[in-house]
Amino acid sequence: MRYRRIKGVVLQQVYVMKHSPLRIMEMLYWPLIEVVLWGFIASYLDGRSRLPGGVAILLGAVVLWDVCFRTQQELAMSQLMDMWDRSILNLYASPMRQSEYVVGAIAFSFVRVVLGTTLLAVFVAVSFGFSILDTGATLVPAFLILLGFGWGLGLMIRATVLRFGSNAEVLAWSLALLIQPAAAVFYPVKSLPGWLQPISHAIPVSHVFEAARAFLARGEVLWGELALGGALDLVYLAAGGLVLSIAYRSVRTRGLLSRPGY
Amino acid sequence: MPNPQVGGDAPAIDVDDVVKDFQGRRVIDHLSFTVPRGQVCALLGPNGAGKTTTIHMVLGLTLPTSGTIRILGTDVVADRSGALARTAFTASYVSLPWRLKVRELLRIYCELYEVPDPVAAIKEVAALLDIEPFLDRLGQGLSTGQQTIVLLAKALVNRPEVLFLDEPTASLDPERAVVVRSLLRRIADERAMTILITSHNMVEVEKLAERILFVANGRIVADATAAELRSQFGAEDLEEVYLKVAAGALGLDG
Repeated sequence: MRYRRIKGVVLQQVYVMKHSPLRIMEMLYWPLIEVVLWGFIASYLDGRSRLPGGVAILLGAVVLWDVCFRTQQELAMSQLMDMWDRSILNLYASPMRQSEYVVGAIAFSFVRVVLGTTLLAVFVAVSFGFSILDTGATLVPAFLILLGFGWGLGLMIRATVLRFGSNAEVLAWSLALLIQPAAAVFYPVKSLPGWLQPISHAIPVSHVFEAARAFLARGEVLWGELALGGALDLVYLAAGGLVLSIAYRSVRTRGLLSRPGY
Repeated sequence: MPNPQVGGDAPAIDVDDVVKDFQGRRVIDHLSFTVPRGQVCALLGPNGAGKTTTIHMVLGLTLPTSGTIRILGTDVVADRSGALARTAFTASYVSLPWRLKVRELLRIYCELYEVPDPVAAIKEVAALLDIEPFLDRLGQGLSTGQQTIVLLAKALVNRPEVLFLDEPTASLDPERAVVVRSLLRRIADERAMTILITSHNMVEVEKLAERILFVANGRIVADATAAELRSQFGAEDLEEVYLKVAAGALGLDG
């Protein structure tokens, strides 16, 4: 991998964002709407619920889930923007490697997610009195696992978009939301139906939310859950990379890269 | 930066016994040709002959079913990135990104091709193609002709040794096309740049190319200079040659 080619990919994303106010606005608009909604629900439930740390658990879940959702969406969106702008053929006809394209997109997504999450966390602290720092020792590993899972999903979406064209763009908006019910974001895994629990255990972020809830409710750090979540992340990242490499070979075999949007 | 020594005396483009099948249909049939360094070579042929597929395989955008392709001695399938380091490509069907300014687009491609001094390279290519007035305009605000010129600038900003052009002047008005054509010829001569070009404009091919490869049904059916082809086919101009060769290849001449 060459540093300057990765820089070229990052520069392209920065320039496109500079000329697309929507790309700047979307960093905060939807997450803020969600936080405000859940903030009001949590405030209403506060005092009516016997759940210890209920408000913190709900708002912490919203902020942390946004890390995962935003990461996968950023990674998928950067490729979709190139397809919408019809830059894909230009990029692939250059010496840029697929790995450099992905690493550049990951670097850009990391900066946007860190910025967006920081702003969201400040908003939640000011508006609802919940500090994401209350998740204590679980915060950093949780953030990293959420990022890793988001990247794993993002790679799979990029592979699907690469193989099937912009018709597959619906996945960029919906894949994480499809997974969310089984990911035990707002409730414990044990509250899910029996048949869904093994699926939930296979999702890295369900272990993150179990650990975060345990810390917020009892001050206990579940290192085993976090380690399991991290290990599962590696599996999803490897699977995402493999699927993307298969898709890349497939579109070159089928000669699809020259068809804009396919 | 790519090492200019890599490849030694290897030809600019070496296509050896390449076959391409799409879903059981053979579109390139044991194609072999070599383009020496510094030559301007045209791929001619009717629609569906396999010209664009050939260029895309040479660029690694499409994988051959069998055979080998080398650019400046580097195998495109084994090391696409290395093979393309000293090349560039543009085509009439490639779009200019809408949400980028021209200067930003050129800067991005300077990074992708690891151009040592991007500011100087952009200044040079902007002067060469007379695009300074719209360097700071967005792609979406340019006319089709201006977009074509900017894409050509993108293809020249890294001073490529091998340039691939697929119908490069198709969207230009005749006046601008003449300017671009003579510019390409001048750059090719001054920089000893190899060009592989496809075009349906016979005048363009005759003025630009030293050698013409006529492709039909995925095979080379003629390989000569324009003058040799005219004499070989008893034709007055290249257009007549084109029509005769195409008719022969399609079985319409008997």
